[in-house]
Amino acid sequence: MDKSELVEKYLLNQMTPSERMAFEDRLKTDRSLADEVDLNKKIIDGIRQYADEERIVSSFKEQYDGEQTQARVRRLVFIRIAAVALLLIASTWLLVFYFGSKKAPGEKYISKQEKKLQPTHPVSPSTKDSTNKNLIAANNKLDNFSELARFEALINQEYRSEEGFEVISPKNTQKYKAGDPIVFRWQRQGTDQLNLVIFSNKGKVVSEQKIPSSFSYKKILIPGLYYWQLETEEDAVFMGKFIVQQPVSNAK
Amino acid sequence: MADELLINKIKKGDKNALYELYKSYKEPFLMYCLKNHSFSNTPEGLHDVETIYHDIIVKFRRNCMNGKLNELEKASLKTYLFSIGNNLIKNYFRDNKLASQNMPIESNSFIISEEPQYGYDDTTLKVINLLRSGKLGEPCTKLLTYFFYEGLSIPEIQDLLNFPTANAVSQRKIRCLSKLRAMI
Repeated sequence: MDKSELVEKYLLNQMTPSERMAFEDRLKTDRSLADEVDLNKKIIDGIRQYADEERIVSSFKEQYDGEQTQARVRRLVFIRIAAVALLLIASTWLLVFYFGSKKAPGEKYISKQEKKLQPTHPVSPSTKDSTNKNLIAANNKLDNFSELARFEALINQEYRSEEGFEVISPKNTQKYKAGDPIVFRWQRQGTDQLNLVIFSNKGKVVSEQKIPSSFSYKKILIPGLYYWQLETEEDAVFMGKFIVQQPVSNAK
Repeated sequence: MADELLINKIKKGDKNALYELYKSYKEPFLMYCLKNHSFSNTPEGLHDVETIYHDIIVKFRRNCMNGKLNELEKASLKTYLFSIGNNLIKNYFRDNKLASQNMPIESNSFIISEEPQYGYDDTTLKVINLLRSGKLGEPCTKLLTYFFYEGLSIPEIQDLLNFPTANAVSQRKIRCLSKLRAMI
C-alpha cells in the first residue's frame, strides 16, 4: 500500500485500531507524511463542503422550480376557471337580461290584474324570433285549442276602456281558416299607436307590433286558440281571442 | 429586524430559513442582472445568473455559519447579498472574457471590496471553488463526491458511472485527486 492510500485509509477511518495507533506514531516523526495527511484532509474537506453546498442549492432549486410550476399551474387553472365563469355569466346575462327581460307585452296588464286573479303560472317570455319554432313545436300538441284560464279571466274582466274605444275585429272567438289573413281593427279617439300582442293559448307571445288603428296579420298561424291584446305605454286596454281552424284535410 | 431573525436562524443551520432567503431574492437578483449587466435573457444567460445566485447563497451560508457577518451591520441583507453577487459577476465576466456594463449595485452605501474569508482553510476554499467552477470536469467531480461525500464503495461507483471494472474506478480516482492537487 503506497503512502497516499495509507493516508486516505487513515482519513476515512478505515484502519483497525492497531493500524491507526501505529500510523499516528509514525505521524509524530514523519513530517512529510504529516503534511500529506494535512493536505489530503483539506482536499477531502473541500470536496465534502462542496458536495454539501451543492446538495443544498440543488434541493433549493428543485423546490423553487416546483413551487414556480405549481404557481403557474394554479394561475392557469384560475384563469381557466375565471374564463369559464365569465362565459357562464355572460351567457346567463344574455339569456336572462336580453331575452328574458324583454317583457311579454301583456305583462303590464297581467301583473295588475293578477293580484286579483292569482294565475297558476306566469307568462312565459318569448321573442318574435322564437315564434316560429314555438309554433312548430306547439303544432304537435293536441291542446292548441284549450283555453288559458288566466287570459280567459282577463277577457271577462272589465278593462280600462278609453272613451270612444271600440274593437271591430276580430270578435271574441271569431274563427279563421288556416292561412287566412287576420284583420285587427279598432276605433279610438287617441292618435298614439297601440301595441298589439298576439299570444298562443300557452301564453307565449306570437307577435308584437305597434299599430295605428288596424292591422292585417298575414303570417300563417298554426291552428289553435289565440289571445290578442292592445296596450298603451302604460296599460293594457283590451284583450280578446280568436281561433285558427284546422284545415279541412287535417281535420279529417 | 426580519433580516436579523432570518440570519440567526441560518446561523443555527436552519435550512428552511436559508430557503426563505433563497426564494426572496432570486427573482430580484435575476432582474438586477438582466437590467444592470450584460446577461442575455436566454436559457443560457439565465442559467449563468442562476449559477451565480447559487454561489451567493453558498457564500452567504458560509459567512453565516462562520460568524463573518459583521459587515451586515452597515447594510441591508439584500445589499449584502447583491454585493457578493457583484463580485461574482465581476469574476464571471473576467473569466469568460466578456465585457460587462459594469453598472453600480443598487445601493452604493455598502460594497464588499474584497472576497470575504469564509472560515475555511485556503486550500479547502480553493478545492471548493475549483469544483464549483467546473474546471475539474464533471466525471472527476462526480467520482470524488460519490466517494468522499456520499461514502459509496468503489463497486457502487463502478455501477453508477458505468466503469468497466472496479480497478478502473480506483485508477480514475487517483488521477482525479492528482489533477485536483495540481490545480490547487
